[in-house]
Amino acid sequence: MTWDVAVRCAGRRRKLPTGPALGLAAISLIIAGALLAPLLTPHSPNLPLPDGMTPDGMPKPPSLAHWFGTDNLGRSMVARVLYGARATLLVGVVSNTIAVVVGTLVGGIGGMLEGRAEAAVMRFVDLMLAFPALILAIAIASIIGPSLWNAALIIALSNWTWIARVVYTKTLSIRERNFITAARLLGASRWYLFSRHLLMHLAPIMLVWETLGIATTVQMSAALSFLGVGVQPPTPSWGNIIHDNQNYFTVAPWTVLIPGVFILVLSLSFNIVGEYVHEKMEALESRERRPETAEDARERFGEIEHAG
Amino acid sequence: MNRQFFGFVAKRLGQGAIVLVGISIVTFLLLYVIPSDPASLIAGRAANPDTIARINAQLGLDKPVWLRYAIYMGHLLHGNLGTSYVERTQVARELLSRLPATLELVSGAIFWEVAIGVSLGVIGGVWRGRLADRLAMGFAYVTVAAPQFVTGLLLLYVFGFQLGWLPLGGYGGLSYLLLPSLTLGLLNAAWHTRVVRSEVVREQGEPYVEAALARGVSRRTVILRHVVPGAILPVPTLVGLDFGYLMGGAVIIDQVFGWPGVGQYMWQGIQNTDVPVIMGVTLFAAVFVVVANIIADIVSYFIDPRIRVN
Amino acid sequence: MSEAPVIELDHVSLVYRAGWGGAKSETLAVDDVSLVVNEGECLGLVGGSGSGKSTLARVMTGQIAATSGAVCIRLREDAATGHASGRRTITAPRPRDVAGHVGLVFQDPYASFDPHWTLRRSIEEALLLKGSSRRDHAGRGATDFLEMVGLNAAFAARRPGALSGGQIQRAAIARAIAINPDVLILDEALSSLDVSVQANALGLLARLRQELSLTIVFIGHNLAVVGAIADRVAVMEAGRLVEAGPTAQLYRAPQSDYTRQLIRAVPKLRHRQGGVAA
Repeated sequence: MTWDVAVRCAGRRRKLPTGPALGLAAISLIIAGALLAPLLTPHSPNLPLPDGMTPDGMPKPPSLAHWFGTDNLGRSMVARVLYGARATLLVGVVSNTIAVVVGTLVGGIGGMLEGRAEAAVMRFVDLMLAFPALILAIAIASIIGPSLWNAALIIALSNWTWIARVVYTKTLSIRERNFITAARLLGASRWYLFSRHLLMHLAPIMLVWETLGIATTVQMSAALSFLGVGVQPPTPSWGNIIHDNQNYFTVAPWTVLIPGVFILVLSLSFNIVGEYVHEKMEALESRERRPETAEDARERFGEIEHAG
Repeated sequence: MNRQFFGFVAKRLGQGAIVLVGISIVTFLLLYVIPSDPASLIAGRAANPDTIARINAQLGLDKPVWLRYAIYMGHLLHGNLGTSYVERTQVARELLSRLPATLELVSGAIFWEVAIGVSLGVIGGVWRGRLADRLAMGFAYVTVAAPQFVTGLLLLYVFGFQLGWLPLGGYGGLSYLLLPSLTLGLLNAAWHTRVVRSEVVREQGEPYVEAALARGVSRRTVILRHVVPGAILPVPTLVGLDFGYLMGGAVIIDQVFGWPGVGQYMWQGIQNTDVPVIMGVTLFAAVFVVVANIIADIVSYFIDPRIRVN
Repeated sequence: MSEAPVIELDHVSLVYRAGWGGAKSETLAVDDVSLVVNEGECLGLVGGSGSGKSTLARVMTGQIAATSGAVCIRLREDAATGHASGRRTITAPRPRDVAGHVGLVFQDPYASFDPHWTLRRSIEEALLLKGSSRRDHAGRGATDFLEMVGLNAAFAARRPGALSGGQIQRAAIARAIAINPDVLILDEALSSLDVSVQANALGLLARLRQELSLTIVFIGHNLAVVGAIADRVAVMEAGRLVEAGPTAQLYRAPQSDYTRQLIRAVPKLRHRQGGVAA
């Protein structure tokens, strides 16, 4: 993908198909909700409301007064979900970004090394790939102490390997190209080749995985929180809201279903948008393999070459 | 069975062994090296000065790291996964006693994921672009995005609570197995659907399909006897890979459904920060995953000739 | 044109080893080749695919180490002014010895440049990597070199995707000569161009060679194209040097069957009434 082609595409303002458009809308709404939470609800996510419980001490169902009802401690579900979006989004985005960065560095640099070093790096990646990610993440989180940042780090650790593999394969195909050989013949260092040339070629993949990966990291974050080893109460996150309320599920299903639906929508949206980005990148890439241009035709018919 | 096959198996076993050693190193580090005071970590809530002193002696914390690791490996190879500090039982023994329940759960999950995944994948591939395909793909997308604990709770609510058809969790016969295994298998079913669907589409494009149809063979026969077998070649490998997710997911499912499996043991360990239990289950899961991957690779080797060329 | 050799190959062989266990295989990519490239001359290297000509070029420049035999390169001493103050001889050269002294032009035009970069940036990269400056010792910059190959200054801001094959190869030549190379190697550089475009490119190369006193190794599979520019031609088949000699002499009196085959393979146009001569 070349930048000028990409810019031309963006400028052309083609209409987005419904799937990605909806997905993008959902993501934007959720992010907006998270950021504007204090403006959107007068309630605090951690304070039980005076009228939060029914007379027998049960959560209140959704009503005009409380759109999402209340939870097991009488707290406003709207507030908890909106503020909870922050934690969930934060962990999802941060962990995924770390995974993409680490994966790109390892896969890209590994691909630029040669011989034993390269084999060693990729052997290491394969090793990490074989680990049972989720259960290891749970184990580590429970031992080193659960917290938002630990959860993000651990999820990143579980996810970077896929990206490293993909980046490595792509690097191999680029590294054989002549402009890399030419630069190497001039004495360019591997780091120069990686940072100046390779990264731009890897940018599309990184973008795709940045989007697609969040779908997974959001889920893993919710899973960790649900098990009690992620974001710790009283800080809300969608996963731990469900954790707190799972015993009330039969009498107050909204306390579980509403955050559950939010997790589903967020993950699904990132999935759809990510796949759309993926398709677009692939289309641009195959266009790079050159069909004949007007220039080629002109040249064949012997017209004088002037630029512009 | 020729030399190439044995070479393949040997290579896979070697890789598996390396992975397991790697995992054992990681668990060892987590158990004994990283925590600044592993003794109180292990003792957990039952900590008192005598206990801590005893653990310190037990752990041999004055010995150099590599020696401690060697001792640890020695224990592992003897099947000694340590002792749960809270329950005062042997971790390994407890794991073995819970293994049947987990195997039941995982088998059920695999049944569902293959049954649902392959059916929907074939439907989607054969009726590509039509409503059936849209529904199948829609299902796949939504299921991947849904958190397992929510799906599980939802199914429990609908089928257990509202309709009363199935028990509300616990262990027993098939009726107890249905919902947990379904929930566990749904996620992977979605992946299978997508893979099988694209394989069906690819297979349908092969020249022999057109040739057979031109010869007058009925479409149904072509699909059932040729396209589908060709399309499901990746499934065994996928199932093998799924074991990793299944083991992780089992923790959640056991918790939601009250299933007395390995996952529930892990859950208890987490609640109590019972480190030997946590690491024991992790190691166990890792062995499970590695062995399953190797078996899946071997099965694929026999089924899919393309792998042999690699 | 002096007779001082820039590259000397003496009984050079290259063996590729692959596989392990019982499946070891050895391929003789270069088989006992002795060859000399003299300063200022254009040496043609001809052969079919798999004849080893590209591999030989890589051995010449030290990119691959020969398994046996002697490889010797004499490179200009680059003083600060860039004038050749003398030559130093390197035996068994490695890539870093040769860095900045060899200009390479490859067969696939579009892989020769980073598609994200403008032509100017790509040429400046060569200059920067060699001499840490965007201009060479004579003050020439990217646009100057582009003009030398017939691309006016407006091309500098273009990217490879917007150019035709012939234009890109010219730009590749521009980049190769920008570093003032001791030897310019064209590896099937014109093979993917249309015939009329090839003719233009050959004319350009001949002119540049004259102006810059270049030493050129021209690799190709078409004897007619190679012969159009080369002073001497070396013919390779299956890694062996089959024949070598001045171009005209090779055409008139080929010593080996393979050379004769190659000559026959060149399409000749018969002279017709008012038609085109061969």
